Amino acid sequence: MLLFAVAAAGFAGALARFWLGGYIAAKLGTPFPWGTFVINITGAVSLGLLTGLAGRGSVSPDLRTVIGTGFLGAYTTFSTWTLETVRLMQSGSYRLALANIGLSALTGLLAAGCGLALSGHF
Amino acid sequence: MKYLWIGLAGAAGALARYGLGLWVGGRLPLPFPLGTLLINVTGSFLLGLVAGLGSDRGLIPPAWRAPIAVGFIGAYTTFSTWTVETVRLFEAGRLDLALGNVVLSLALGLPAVWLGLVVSRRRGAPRSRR
Repeated sequence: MLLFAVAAAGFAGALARFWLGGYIAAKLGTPFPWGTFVINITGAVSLGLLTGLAGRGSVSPDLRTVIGTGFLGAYTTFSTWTLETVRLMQSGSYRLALANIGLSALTGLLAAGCGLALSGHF
Repeated sequence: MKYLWIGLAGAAGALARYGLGLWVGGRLPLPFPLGTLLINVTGSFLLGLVAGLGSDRGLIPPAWRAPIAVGFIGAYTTFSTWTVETVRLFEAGRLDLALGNVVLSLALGLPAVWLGLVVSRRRGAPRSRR
């Protein structure tokens, strides 16, 4: 039952990423991969919040697994981030590639930390 | 129909990550999140390979590309777990492991994508245009 719920949440997470990524790319049309950035940062703050709430017992371990591992794990992506960075390098946009790495890593870690800290206020 | 296949592939990717993460965590109960590192590096290699074989060489049918790349591999790898695990290490006072997790993931993940792209140019059928 837990496996089925993780799979269903993964189904929804992948589709949410596909839709939001496509939407942002169509709206902005910039060479910088803002879609993946927005997806990964919103996912990191959400997982920080959820992990903090689970640590305080406000969220059950099963719900944490379904939403955290299933939905948010599938919603965010590491491989698209690294591929888009290498693609930027291949096209000679080294500054954008470096910015994509630095900005995503720093903002993502800050977002996860903010989510964890915020969980104490619920 | 496209959405159904992307969703199903995403479900499979999430389950693969869940299973592999539990397996690695059970085998090697280390304070370092080796499972997520392994998942993200292997996923990066696979995505480089699939991107190279698909959009660069046209060896993967267009209808399959989004389900495999966006659905399965995108859901298999994870950014959120990586950041939360890193912050948790930092909070636990393991600055060395937190920093190591960031540096290792990038120092292995970026070359893994590149390696996947390189391998995709060397395997299988010849290029359609020479």
